[in-house]
Amino acid sequence: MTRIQIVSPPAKASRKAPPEESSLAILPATRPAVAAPEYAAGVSETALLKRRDQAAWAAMFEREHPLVFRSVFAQVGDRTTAEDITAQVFLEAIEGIGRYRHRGRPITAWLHSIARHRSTDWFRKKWRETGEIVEPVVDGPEQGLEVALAALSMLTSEQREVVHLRFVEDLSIEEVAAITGRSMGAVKAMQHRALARLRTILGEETGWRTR
Amino acid sequence: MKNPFASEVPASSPEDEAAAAGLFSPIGEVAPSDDALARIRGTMANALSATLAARPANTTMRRVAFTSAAVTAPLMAVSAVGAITGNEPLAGPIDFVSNAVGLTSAETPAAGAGTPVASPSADASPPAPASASASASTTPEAAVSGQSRGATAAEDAHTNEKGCDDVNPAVQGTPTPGGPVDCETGNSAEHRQNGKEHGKPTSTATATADPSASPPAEDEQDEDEAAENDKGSVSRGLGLGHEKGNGLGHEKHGHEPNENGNGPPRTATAEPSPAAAGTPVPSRSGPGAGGNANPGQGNGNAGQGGSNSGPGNSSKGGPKK
Repeated sequence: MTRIQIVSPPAKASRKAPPEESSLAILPATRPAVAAPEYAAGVSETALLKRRDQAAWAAMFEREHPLVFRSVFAQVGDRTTAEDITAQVFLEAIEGIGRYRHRGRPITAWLHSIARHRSTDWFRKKWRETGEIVEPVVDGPEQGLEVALAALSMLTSEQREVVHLRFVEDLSIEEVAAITGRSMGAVKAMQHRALARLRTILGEETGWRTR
Repeated sequence: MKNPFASEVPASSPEDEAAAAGLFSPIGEVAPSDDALARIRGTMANALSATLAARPANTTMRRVAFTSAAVTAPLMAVSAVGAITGNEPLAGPIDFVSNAVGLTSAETPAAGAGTPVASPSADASPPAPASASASASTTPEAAVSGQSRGATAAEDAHTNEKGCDDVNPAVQGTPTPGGPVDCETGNSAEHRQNGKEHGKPTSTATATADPSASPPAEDEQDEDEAAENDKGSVSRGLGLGHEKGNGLGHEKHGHEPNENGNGPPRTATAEPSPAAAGTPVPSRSGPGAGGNANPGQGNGNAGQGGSNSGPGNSSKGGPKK
């Protein structure tokens, strides 16, 4: 059985450094040097999380919140909304940790599914309120981000999820399959169709192939 | 060998993957604000503290609930087994309960009589010591003491001028139909509800009611009312004159026939033996029918009781509306 290791995406220079101090003494302010747990370690981490261990939850939050936030942001396109939904995701994780069962998939997959559901709920709520499909809105003159979000909006939710995990989080096909709960062949096919669609829509006008 | 049914999954070209990575890289640079992170951390800390604080109370409640269920569950099982096998596994406990409430052991009904599973009305009897405080849903405890209550109820039914059904309500004020489960005196539902002077309990019946408990004076008074109103028993035993011979199986109760002609016919041996009079005759399989030990006997009375329509009717049973 192939062991899939989930690793955090490499730190990029443009990313802000984690805060030195935190208003809370419980959760560490600085990003702890917590390696992505392997499946063997995931079992013990689950047990600690179920016991409501503060340190375990803090470490898990620091490790997972970037992926969760970016996944939500890729869906909703608004930073404030993404922050609120991220908070909901982790609160829901605390409430539902008793029902969580480690079945060989990383806890990242569980958080990712919660994030996907909350994002979908947000879209449905907006649809009920406005009656219009919510388009991602980029706050600030970030053209690259605007284009990226616009490109993602052209895809289906499943394709969007795969493309985000593959090309934003830099995860492998195996890792994406583990997180999304799909087979590797399904992930490959979904990726292929997504990129083909982007190629068709964006074409050479946006410099698809020249990027 | 290649599987002809397997479809090849097309792979994305490296150029497309590189273009996608460059297109979507700005999204990877997005991060939540520091304030948002601090707010999320605080919310998580509060949630963790709240869940930890709430856990011990829930555990205590679950333990209490489990304890009460653990006590009552074995009693339910034992009483059910006793009903099936006819043994009296709870005779000892029943005697203890009976003595505690002032009843003699002779008055304690056998475990096999009646249905051990007490009806909700049987739960209302206060003589049951431990079970009195229990809710009506604690049927095991009711089953344990229900048999002793049945004797008390059967006895009181013929002394308090009310039906067997009213014994418990008389005490607790909550009338329930059907009467006690194991009341052997008065087998039909309507009898128990309205029974007065329902005759003497038989020796076979576990309920040993005092034969002298039925007041003849009251009987005559009710009989006059019955004759006056020309009403008989109804299916729920509410009719006047019911005490005298209405209802199914009523003739088994051994008292004198009604003056209105209803009730058991006058025979040469006008004084039936208490044993015969008190023979429980289940007229129907009503709830808590104590006379279910003699099935079928009451069925012959059904037609007779139903044909009564007024005075002068020589048929058995009482008039019915």
